[in-house]
Amino acid sequence: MTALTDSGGNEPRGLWSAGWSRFRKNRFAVAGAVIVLSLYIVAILAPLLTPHDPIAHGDLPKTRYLSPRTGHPLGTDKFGRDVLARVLYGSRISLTISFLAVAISVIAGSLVGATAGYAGGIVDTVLMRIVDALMAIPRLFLLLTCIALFSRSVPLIIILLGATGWMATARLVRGQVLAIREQDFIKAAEALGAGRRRIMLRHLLPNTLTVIIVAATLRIGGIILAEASLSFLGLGVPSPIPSWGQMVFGGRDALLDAWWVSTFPGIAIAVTVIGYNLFGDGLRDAFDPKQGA
Amino acid sequence: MDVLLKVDNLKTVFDTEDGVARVVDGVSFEVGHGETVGLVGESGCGKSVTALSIMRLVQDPPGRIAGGSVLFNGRDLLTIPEREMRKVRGNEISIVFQEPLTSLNPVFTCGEQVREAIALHQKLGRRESKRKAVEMFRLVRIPDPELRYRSYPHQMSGGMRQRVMIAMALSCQPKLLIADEPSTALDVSVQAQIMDLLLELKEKLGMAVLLITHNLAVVAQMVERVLVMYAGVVVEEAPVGGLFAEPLHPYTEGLLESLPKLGAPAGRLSMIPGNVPDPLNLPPGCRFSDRCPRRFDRCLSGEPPMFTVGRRRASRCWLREGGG
Amino acid sequence: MARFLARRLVQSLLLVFIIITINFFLLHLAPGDPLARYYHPDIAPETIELMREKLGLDRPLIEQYVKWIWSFARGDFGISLQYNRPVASLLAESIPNTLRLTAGALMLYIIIGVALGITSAVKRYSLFDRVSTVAALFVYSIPSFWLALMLILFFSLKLGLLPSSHMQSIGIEGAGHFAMFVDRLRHIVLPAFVLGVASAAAMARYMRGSMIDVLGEDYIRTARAKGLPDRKVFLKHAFRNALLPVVTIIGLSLPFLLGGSVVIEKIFSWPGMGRLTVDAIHARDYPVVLAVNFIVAVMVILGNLLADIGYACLDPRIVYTRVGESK
Repeated sequence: MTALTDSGGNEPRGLWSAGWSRFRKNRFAVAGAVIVLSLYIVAILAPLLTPHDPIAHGDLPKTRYLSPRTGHPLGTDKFGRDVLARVLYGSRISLTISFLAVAISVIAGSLVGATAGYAGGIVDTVLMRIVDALMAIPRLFLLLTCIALFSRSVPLIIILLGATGWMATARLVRGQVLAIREQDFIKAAEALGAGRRRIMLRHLLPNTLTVIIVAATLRIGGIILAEASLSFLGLGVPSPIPSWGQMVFGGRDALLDAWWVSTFPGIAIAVTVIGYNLFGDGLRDAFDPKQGA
Repeated sequence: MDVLLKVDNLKTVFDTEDGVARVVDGVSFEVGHGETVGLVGESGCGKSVTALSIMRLVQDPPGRIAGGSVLFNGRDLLTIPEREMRKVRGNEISIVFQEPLTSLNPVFTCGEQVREAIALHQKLGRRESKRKAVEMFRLVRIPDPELRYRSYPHQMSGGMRQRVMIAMALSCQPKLLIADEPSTALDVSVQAQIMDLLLELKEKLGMAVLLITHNLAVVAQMVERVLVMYAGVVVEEAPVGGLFAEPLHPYTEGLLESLPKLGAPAGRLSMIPGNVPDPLNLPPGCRFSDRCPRRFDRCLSGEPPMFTVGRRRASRCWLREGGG
Repeated sequence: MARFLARRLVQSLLLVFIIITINFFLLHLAPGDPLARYYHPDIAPETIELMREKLGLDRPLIEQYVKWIWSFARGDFGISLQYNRPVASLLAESIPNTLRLTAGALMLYIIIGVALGITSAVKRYSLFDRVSTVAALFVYSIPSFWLALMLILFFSLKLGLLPSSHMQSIGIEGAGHFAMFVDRLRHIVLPAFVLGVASAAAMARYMRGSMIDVLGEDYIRTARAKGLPDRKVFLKHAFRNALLPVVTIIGLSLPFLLGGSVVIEKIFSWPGMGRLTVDAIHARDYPVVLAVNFIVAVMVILGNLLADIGYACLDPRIVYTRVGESK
């Protein structure tokens, strides 16, 4: 936000305060923000919220598939582990992975988009065709192909999720750059002899920041779902690290007898994604009305 | 003359974020059988909304008709069921809109859009209605009517599109044609052609015409009687000759003075100072008072009623109190 | 029209070419010997040496690249390590199944999405509109695999109404055409619904927005001024115009559906490309993975091409604006 204040001639302060007041009036948006915030609090405070260990096996077979009861409000799984504890700890994985992956994809996408938009010509054409091509491959297939190549780990999942999600941001930023570089203050900066890179960093990126942030927030939900799908397929976060997608998968064998094992992690995913989507929609409506439906 | 249309105290409002905008605020007038009446005023005065209200086509929400009556052949169009109203639209009352490009559906051929109206109201089959539609194309002098029948709107010029609109409007021999700025969006050279065509078809088919325009020059050639509208009300009513000879409302005077005159020195045209008032924020008293060069105390204290002057004229100005 | 098609075709071919290249680089970008990924307990070292020779991995990179493009362009994707069969024949078996599932989902979501979207737009701000807005958000946020499990739990395990896996019942072949058709229909309902429901939600939102935009157009007022009944105004005059932007969305939804089919096929044991891929990854069957990656991309590009053609058919303006000036 400090970058925004000296972005030059675009009255960012007014924009932001007007945006926030619009955001606060939107009940859905505020609900989304509250959900997202609560999730982060839960993730941080997980050890305080449950006495159980999310990874160590329980006293088998005595504690296997216990239905929800006092002591285990959401029941236990196949290995006698407390489902609530695993759901709480699982939020750490989901939130960390999605946040970092979005950060990677946004940074990479912004750089590519800004380069294409600013350089123009052949650079633009080549970069954008690559973007088109990558976007033609469904993300999950792209992820799976990459996963088949490397050995699985959490950092790899983060990098892959980030590396397969930058294309839309690149397109968005390129469009913004093309629009903004025609504006007078950029031309003035260029006429004053400011270097190209300097112009890009000092003016273009800060000006597209709102758009990027809004788009990034809207993308987090999708990334959480993608990570969950990978883990569900057994190709994501390696066990026994508690991840929601894998927990849903883990309950598949005993769906009829122990429905709680799959149900609650699934609800956790849904609530998180809904929270981010509401939050993102609210941000978009408040700060970037043009993009709205 | 028999009265065909009698609009009485029509009120149409729009709900906006800042309050209720009374865009048409008590409009009353009559149109006789076969008569041509001009409804004149600056943009935003409520003349188009008056037309849409007669047809019950005001977009709801945000707009709604809040009161008054529209008697058409003695029947109040504002109270009949929607089913009945649909039989009136395009059949007994037709309308030609200002923008011939956006008013035609881009994904259907021009012919189909005319044919559809004929088939609907005259209960004709596809072949018969098509034959009549081609006939209508010929009537409005679209060259090559059979070919043009199959053209899409984007393949035609503005003038041709407006001819299609006119063909559509006249296809069921309506008793009343409302022409809402029919030539405004067209090139100057085409404008005259369209107006001539309307005049000619009016003579031929004998319908009444309510011509809505901001252009007094157009009115002078076309109509028998003029209604001048300002800020949602009719401020003056007069036969066309009388209006030009001796306007009875300061607003009409201003409009006439802003017309370029033949033979007059090519000096600056006088303009009425200021703007049409915001319907959410009308001046107290007379609506024209903030722009009127002849304002006096009375104008600020109360809104003038329509004062009858002579047999066929009326003016909404305190200066005419007592018919002077 | 012909020129527009030709241009889009050339663009599509270019994209396919780039994708083959990306695949090539993915293989070579991976650390170490590309063939290291082929090491598998079931595969004799001689086979690998044979492959190295066959793939020309001892040749210069540029030559490998040209060869790679040539073989992909001919549909020669190599031999599956897992099944020891040509990848192409594996694909020939699984592609129709995936297409059937995707087509089912596509039909389902277009019908549901369009119907809901139009109703929402026509009855804007009504209770129906509000409920469907909120419902769309929820549906869009639910993980598909979880929804699938919940539906299986409810409809298959608890109620026993619908089968939970495979494309048809075992031994149904002898039961006559109609019985077989019903059986297959029953098998496709759940997977197609789960696969399409999120897209239906998105579709409903787009359709609603598009329809609302169109309903504000002048030509809708003209249609009303003609005396047309609402039904005709909405379904004839508004619908076709509102459909235009949505056709593009249908094209764009293909990657989403094909990606989703991976998870759905796995859950419902549907013998399609998605399941083939997941199994191939677990078995490190690399030629299969790359081939599927390529085929899916081609399908998506083809889908977009079809969407463009559909758009051109629906909108008479497009042909003229593309082929130079109007008239």
